[in-house]
Amino acid sequence: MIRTADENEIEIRYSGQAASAAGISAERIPLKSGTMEIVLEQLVHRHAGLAPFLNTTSDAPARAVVIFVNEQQIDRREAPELRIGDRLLILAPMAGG
Amino acid sequence: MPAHDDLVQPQSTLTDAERETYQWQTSIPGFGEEGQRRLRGASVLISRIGGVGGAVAYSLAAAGIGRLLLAHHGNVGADDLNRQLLMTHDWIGRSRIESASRRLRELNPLLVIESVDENMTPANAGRLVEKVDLVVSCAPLFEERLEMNRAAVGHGKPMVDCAVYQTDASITTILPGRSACLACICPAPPVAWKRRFPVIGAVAHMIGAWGAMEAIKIISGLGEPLAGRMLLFDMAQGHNQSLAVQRDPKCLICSGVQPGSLPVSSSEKKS
Repeated sequence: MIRTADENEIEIRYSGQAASAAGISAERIPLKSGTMEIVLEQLVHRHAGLAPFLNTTSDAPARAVVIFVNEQQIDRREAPELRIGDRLLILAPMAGG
Repeated sequence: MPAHDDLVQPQSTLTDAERETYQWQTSIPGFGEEGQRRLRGASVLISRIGGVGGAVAYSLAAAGIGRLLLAHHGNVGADDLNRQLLMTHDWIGRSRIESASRRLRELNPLLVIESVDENMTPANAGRLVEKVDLVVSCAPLFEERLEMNRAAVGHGKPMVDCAVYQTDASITTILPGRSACLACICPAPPVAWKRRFPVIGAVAHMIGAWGAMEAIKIISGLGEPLAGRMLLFDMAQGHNQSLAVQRDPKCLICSGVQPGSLPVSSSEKKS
């Protein structure tokens, strides 16, 4: 269960294979920079298993995940800025079974 | 959402036997006997009838859908039985599609079933999608799902996309030319995805029931479909989200597609 928010934090949720790779489904982290790519690097630093999903070194935009900020799908290529209190969702698309 | 006359025409008056069978749902405001008649006149393609698709098919058969086109290759395996409700232990080693047809006919003898012992491919997707009013995507491989998306958008057919992984599940509805298609959300198969992945049957059945309800809504005009929205469920933690998904103006599949003869939402109609 995710703990109560502190000041200067954002909420992260992981879904599908991204949750398996992170080893958790939700957490709160301090927002050191509002730059999306820096936050994603921060997540990879915390959970190495996320690297294939959030690869920030590739020239091509990562297509292994869909990213939502405050429940809105965002285009990572547009470099959206994050603010304190934002809710970030990292969704690895799923299929049927 | 009023049903669109071009999508499914209501069939003739219900018989007394049909009124008795469906009386628990025909009394629902916004559905009624006309909704039931539209269901009876409708045809739905379900791509794979495993854990998710089997639940879609079962709920649609119970609701009184007129015709199901079921596409799934292969035979029943023991490892299907934790989730595939249309498969039974005594059918291991025999055709999945025959097992499913047998179980669905037990539930609804009036249901017309066309079964195809094939999965979605570039060679068959267009031909299969063209034969129905609506498609439900439940396959485990993104190659199949994206092919079905391409065919559905190309033919202007609504598509309901249901998915699971472990105890997570997602669903969205694609109205071509109106809402994000699957390729807007996931333009290419994720490299880490594997054909065999963990899932509990109850998760698959839950999202399958949602998928059936989306089909019922679009066909009958009840409520509002999940077009432009994705519902995401974390059943382990009991956390659900309603997410806004966006059309990609550069989408290779749907960027040039205009709204065709598809359901018009009540909000759109008022504006």
